[in-house]
Amino acid sequence: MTRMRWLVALVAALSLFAAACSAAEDAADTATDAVGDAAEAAGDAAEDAAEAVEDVVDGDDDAMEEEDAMEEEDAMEEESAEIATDYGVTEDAIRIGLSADLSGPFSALTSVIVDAQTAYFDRVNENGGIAGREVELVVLDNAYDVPTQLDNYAELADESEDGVVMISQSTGSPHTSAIAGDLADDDLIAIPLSWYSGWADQEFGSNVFELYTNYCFEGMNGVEFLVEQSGEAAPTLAIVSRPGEYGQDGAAGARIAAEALGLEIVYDGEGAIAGDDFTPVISQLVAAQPQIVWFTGSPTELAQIFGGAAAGGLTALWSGSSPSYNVALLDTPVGPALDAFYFHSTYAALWNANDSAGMQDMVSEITARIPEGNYAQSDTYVIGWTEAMFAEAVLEQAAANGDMTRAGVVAAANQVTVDFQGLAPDQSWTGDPNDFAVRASYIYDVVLADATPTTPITEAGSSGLSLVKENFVGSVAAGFEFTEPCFVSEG
Amino acid sequence: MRGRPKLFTSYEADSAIFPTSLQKWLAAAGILLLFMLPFDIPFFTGPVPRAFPDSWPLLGGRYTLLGQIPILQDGIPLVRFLGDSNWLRPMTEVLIFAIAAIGLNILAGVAGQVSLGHAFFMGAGACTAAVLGGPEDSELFWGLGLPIWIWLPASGIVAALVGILVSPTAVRLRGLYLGIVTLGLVFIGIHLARVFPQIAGDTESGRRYPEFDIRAWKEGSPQVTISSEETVTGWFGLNAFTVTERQKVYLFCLVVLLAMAFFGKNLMRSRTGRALQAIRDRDIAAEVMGVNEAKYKMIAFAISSFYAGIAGAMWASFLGKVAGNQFSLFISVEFIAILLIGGAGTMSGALAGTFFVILLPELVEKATEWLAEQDSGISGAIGDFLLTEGPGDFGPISEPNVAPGWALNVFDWNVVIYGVLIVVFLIFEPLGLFGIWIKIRNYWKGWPFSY
Amino acid sequence: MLSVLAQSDVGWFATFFNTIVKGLAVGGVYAIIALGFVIIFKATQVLNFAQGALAATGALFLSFLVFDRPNQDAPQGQTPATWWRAPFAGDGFPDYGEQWASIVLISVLAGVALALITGKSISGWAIGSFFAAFLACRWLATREGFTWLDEPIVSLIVAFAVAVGVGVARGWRPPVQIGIGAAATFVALVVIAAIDNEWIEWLGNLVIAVILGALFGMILERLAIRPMVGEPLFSMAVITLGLEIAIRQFANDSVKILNRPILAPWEGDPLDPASDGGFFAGGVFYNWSWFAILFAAAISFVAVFLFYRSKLGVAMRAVSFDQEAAMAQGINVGQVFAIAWAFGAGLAVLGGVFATQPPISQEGSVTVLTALVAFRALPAVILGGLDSVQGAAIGGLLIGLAEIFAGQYLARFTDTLGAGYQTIVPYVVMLGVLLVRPYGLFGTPEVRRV
Repeated sequence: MTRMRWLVALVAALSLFAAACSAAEDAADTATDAVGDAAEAAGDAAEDAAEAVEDVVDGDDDAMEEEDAMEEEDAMEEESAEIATDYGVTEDAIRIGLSADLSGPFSALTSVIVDAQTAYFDRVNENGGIAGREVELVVLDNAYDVPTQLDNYAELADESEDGVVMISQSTGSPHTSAIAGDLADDDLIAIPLSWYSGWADQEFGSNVFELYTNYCFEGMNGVEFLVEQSGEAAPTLAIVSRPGEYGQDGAAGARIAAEALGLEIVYDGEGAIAGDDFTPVISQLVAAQPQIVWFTGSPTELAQIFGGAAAGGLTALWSGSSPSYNVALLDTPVGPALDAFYFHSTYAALWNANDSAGMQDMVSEITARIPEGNYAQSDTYVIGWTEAMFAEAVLEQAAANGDMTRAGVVAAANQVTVDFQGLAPDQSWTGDPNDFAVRASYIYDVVLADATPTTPITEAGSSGLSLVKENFVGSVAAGFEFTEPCFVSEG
Repeated sequence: MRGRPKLFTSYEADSAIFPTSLQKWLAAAGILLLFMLPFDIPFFTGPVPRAFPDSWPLLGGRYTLLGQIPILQDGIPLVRFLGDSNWLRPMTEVLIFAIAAIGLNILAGVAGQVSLGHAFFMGAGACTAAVLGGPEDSELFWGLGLPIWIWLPASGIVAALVGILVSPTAVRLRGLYLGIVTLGLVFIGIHLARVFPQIAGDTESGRRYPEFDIRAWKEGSPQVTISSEETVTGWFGLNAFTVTERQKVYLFCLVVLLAMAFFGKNLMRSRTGRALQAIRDRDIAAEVMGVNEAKYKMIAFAISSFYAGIAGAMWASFLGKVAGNQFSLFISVEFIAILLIGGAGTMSGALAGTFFVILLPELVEKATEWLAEQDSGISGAIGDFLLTEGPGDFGPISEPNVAPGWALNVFDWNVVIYGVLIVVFLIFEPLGLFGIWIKIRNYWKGWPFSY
Repeated sequence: MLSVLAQSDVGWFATFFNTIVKGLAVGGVYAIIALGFVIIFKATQVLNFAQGALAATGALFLSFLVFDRPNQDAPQGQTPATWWRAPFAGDGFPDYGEQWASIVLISVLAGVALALITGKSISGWAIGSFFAAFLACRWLATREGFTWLDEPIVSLIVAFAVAVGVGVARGWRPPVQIGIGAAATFVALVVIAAIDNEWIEWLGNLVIAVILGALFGMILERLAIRPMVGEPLFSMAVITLGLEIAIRQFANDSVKILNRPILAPWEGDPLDPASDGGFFAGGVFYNWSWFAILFAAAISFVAVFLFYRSKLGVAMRAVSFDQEAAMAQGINVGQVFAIAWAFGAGLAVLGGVFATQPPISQEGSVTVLTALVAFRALPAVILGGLDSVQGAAIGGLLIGLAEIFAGQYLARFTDTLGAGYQTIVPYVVMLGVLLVRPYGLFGTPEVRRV
């Protein structure tokens, strides 16, 4: 007991001391800050004046662009006074929320996405921000857990100055679906890390703005591509998927393609992946001996089931939804079999995979800003980068409309057409989902010999994928009447 | 000698709800505090001197001691609680989990049957609520659209029936064996939820759960709204008592908790409670004295599962949308931790343990957030040492948006610290928070003499 | 996996036999982990829920030890050496001088380490100061003027020097252990270097990983379990749950890049399609790892069986029989606890390593699922009886067989049973057996007295 009391006394004394110190320093800080601010303001004014003079002197020598830019800036500065705001936007800051999985099973990927968004908005801020305001990211961890996601949402949606104006990352289908209704009630928009076809449903996902194509169209394109590759008119098909919005949406797409193309489904494992042991799925796959397989699951599950089926003697061609595959699988014993049988499908162009302006820009910016980045997962940067492009486009539009309230941001998001500069198909969310939904996917062949090791992870390597189809829209996907989600989980 | 603990002059006094008047007053104060918590009532807001005048020698311009406390900077609030803040969410969760913790306390603390299957019974309750209270017109899920006064008690009753089905194993099995078998129930429950999506909803995203609104029958607008956006202004004619949805839900859960706690406390004082304690202390001896072991173990399981079922239904309703796999082993383990940290066998221990275990991750998170914001003074130096704030910086904690290296990010550390705190707490205080209370009480018992 | 492909029409017996071997292999992993549970439970009465975290951590140790990637560009005629054979060779390809310098250095270090650890009263001080000094070095390394500390091996040496210094200051005089340890390590390293065989090197790494895991277990026991002796069983179980939560997060963070390959020698080279990590018999595929698992399980059981016949093992059995009586006989109960945890943790590491291999996992790498293998093994422990060594073996094999057989032969009833039914088969089997035999198949019934 004596020792305890001593400890308590010591801690109390220390904390008092600490409080006193920090408070005193705070006071000093505020003073210097104030002085600094004043100086900065003066400097800014001087700079502005200098620029204006320069402008006059330069006259017409420079291209019109610069002047335009200046005018725009001026216009924005004027606007910033008039823009209507409610929560998350103040005179000098715009708060954007992220509820990402940073400690759960997908944290390797989502932390990369958060990095990319941070890098993007750092640059936006260096170039003067949006509507003269600095973008501030509020990063929360949802640990891939629905209750935590709901806690995060309450914090982000708070109707006070602590709230945010939009959510630029919401990891997970079930997690985003848990907040979809509240998003509509609170007039907030969210970008999901989930490509569920239900987000296009205006009743359910009206405020969820999904980027690129969805699992369902991807499944249609994938199956159609596999049919093409197999060289047969109607190969036998097997579908293997996780249960839930992700897995069953992908499986539904594959089934729609099978019906349209007249394929026989010899094994329908929709929702069959459950638990840590996959013997039943493998044994049924091997028994059914399909010629092509569509897979929607996680990389670990792919390795188990694909590897197990290959060991069991299955020589089918495989492809699967984008999240099913990861470059790290090439380091495992299933690497050679993936090389031989697997095609990777994605929604956006991969790291350094084309020469478009957007790609060059992203690669140079990210390597400069994140020198110690996680380049083992470099293919994931594009997701965060394009999410940030979308968020910026929406906020710019809202600023141009003079309404940066949450409702204004929703309206702006329904107006914009985002030009992803070759990173992904351009996209808008205006009108009927059947018209605006993106139906194109990218398909890559796995080439093990091209894969270079990714240690140390700070050096960019090649993930051993060679592009087979860019912006591929199969006949099934093109002709599909998209009036409702392929898989419905809401009653 | 009045009010001395452990000094009783009659049997009635020994088995009173509050054996001492101190306990009575503490309990009353605690309940009052819980009721006031969701409100924010500054009784006095006047200017408080935040700093000494510049003219003062030495102290000039420095903060006064009171000015150090951020809350005080707006005035002196005599009663200043959470108000309609985000903290109400975890607080409501605490109340709901406390209901289930009381249930497990009756089973494990009073009757000595440790169960790792509490999440399973919570899930059973939640599923009952979903089916009875869910909308009738759903194409995918079963639903009867019944009002809360049917589904809430029914969820407890169905869970209790499931508990009765399980109880025969408890007669056969003892100690850790029973623990692991009930752990198996959790896995079986999650599997059942997967097999019957009509009941439990989609495997990953689950289904919507009925809200707390009170209706007489199936009418469209509820008689008493609880889970709705509608704000009620001016209860008791006071502006301070303007309640929003969050506050109403909190108060509703508090009322249910108090009712359940009162029932549990009384149960422990009854014939049944004494029989259960006898079984815990020595089951054979209890049988010798005429306690029917099988019957009372069944009762213990039934009551405990009843509490779990109610809590499960309320939790699902509070979250709004839950999948079957949320009722996982992690929840069961959390309850065992709650029980041990609070101190098994006592009502107040169960409540205190829930506060500790549920709020701990929140507090850890807030602490690291605070640390990351500091850049001056001692706290800043600590933060500088602990945090990796960019490439090339060294520290065991990395900011969330610094790429993964060997440093864990703040959110990983929250999990680690949570685990370590459980270990450290149990090592230093094996009897839990209740043990601390006993120590404090014993200190004052003989005060000013040590013995 | 590609060189030969199976025919699709396989005889029923071939499939049946394959399923048996596969089931036994899964059961073998469960048995190894269950054995770890049993040893710790017998000695300390603790059901160690942290076993999964220990397994994942130990498998990670191994993956760190075999860090070099298979497709690293190797100079002509050389295979990359593991770090403990050539710490000075920054590129992983040691020349003659580097290799000898390394061998001598490591031998001396190993000797000193042995002496420090076995030195009675100062081991805590030495180990503590070692870790403190190492962390301090790593911290200093990022500071101006200390960049020479940047190489991990330099920090290690400095930390070692500090540890020896502290040891000497606390009254430790270098004893013969240094000589013994150094000589043994020297001989071992020279032999390993001379043979230069992938298998021996990997097994060496495995042994080091198991030893590291065992040390880790001992440290956990000392920090978290020893203070709890005499407290209620469930308090101790919850402490191990707290440990599990805390340690697992470290392990999970390390596999955030998804995979940490352990490069088992039987795996075959991922770049070489001809090596397939197994063989076909009767048209069905058998992984080499299945047999490696059975072999490892057999070795661990023999080792534990022999250990229980040694002096220390008898002491452990005495402690598990009656702690106070054993203490009265002069048995050092604390030491017995430490040894039991070392054994349990070492077995967890072994189980964790094999949980990364087929048939449990096809990836050959540590993933977030590796730690879950302990929860899958729990029914095996309970089925066999919490305090029975042969129970762990038989329970593990039975549960493995039940799971794989259900997965193989009930697959066509998936629609009725529900996807993932195989994961609850172990629990159903366990429940059925326990209702008949409440203390498992071989567990000691608790004597019920009034």
